[in-house]
Amino acid sequence: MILLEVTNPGSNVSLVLYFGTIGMLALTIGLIVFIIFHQRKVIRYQLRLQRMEQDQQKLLLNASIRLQEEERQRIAADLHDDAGPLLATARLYLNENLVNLDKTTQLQSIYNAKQIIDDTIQLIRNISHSLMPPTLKNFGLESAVNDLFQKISGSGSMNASSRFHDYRERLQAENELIIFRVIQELVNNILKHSNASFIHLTQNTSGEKFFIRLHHDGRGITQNDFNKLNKSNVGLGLKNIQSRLKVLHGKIFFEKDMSQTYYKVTIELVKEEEDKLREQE
Amino acid sequence: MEFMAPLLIRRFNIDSFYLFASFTIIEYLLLTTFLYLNIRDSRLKWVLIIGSVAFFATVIANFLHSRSGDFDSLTASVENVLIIIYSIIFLYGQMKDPSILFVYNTKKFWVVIAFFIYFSATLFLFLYAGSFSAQDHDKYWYINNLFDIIKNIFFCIAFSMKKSKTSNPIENYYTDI
Repeated sequence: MILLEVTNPGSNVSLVLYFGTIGMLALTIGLIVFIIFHQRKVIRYQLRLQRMEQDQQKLLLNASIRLQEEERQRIAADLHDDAGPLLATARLYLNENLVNLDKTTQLQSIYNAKQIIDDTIQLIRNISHSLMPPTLKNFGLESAVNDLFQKISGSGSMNASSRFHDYRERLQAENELIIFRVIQELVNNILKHSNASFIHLTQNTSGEKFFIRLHHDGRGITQNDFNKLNKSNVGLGLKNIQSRLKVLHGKIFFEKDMSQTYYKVTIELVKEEEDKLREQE
Repeated sequence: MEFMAPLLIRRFNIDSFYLFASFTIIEYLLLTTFLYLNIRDSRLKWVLIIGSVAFFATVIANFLHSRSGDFDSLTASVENVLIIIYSIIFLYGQMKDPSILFVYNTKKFWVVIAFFIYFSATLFLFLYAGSFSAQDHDKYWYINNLFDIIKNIFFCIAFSMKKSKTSNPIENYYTDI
């Protein structure tokens, strides 16, 4: 019927009416189809993003679990291999006291046992300090970082310096520890892999943002390398840095200096996040 | 209501022009209210307000001056154009809303699609309807009836849809998996 109307040359109204209606319908259906396909595309994209995020979370979780296990194994090894034998030896010396009644020998064995117990105390203190540095706990991040850098400089292999420009108010203790661990991990990586001759750390604040920058002149990584390593199964330390910073809602950037001579690592935290975490607690 | 028109005209001897015009006004008011309540962007809501002012200006002008034939062609055509524009605005809003992932999983979508298709298909018919003779009316009015049926089928789809288990359809998607 439509074709008959259209082919009739006298019927202009029919022509416009039918073509107009068909055209409008085509436009409408086209628009609806576009919306549905666009929605599907968005869903697929969002699902892919979620899956990627889940994979990334899984990697970070695995990394932190592995790291925790490694830390436990190290502590267990320290206690078993060092503290255990030392205490066993001290016990032997004290046992000797029960067997040997000679006063001089007794005194000697007590002295030896005391020496060994002193060593054990020192060892346990070292283990405890490695778990929670006392400088960090008592004097804050600035002192702990200075202490760490002094030790590195003292070794003579590298010149390490730090400068805190605006650290009048201490961060929360747990957050200081997280940042310190991240700095430790970064410094450790620089020491192990970069072959640098110096490390310089600066702290700054800008508005609500808190920055820590590390410069070194060795071989470093860029943000692309960091992202790649984060997605791969290697680079446990970097994943650990990422998962620690995630707790603080912080960001980390790896880049080359403007002069292309130095590598720069920037840790960025939002002070508001810190305040919120404090309020939540 | 449209199917009741012949009965009302014969029984109560009402002028068909005013009857159709009042249908158009009621239809426009209901649809615009529905769309106004479902469009979230306040800037886009202004389009509906301005459009409504234009529509009522047309209605008044049509009542006062340009009455032609039994069918209110001008107001019906303006209504068609405005509802098409509002439907596009509504769909644009739905597309941009991040909380709506499956747009076709909502009742509102199917209701708007029903009107969108109906008004698009009948736009040219209503434009010409003012100048139709009784013979032309019988000849072309099947377009209106056909798309009226299609519109009602879409309504059936909308009303038979089950409500989402959660407000976020992506969560339903995961539970389905």
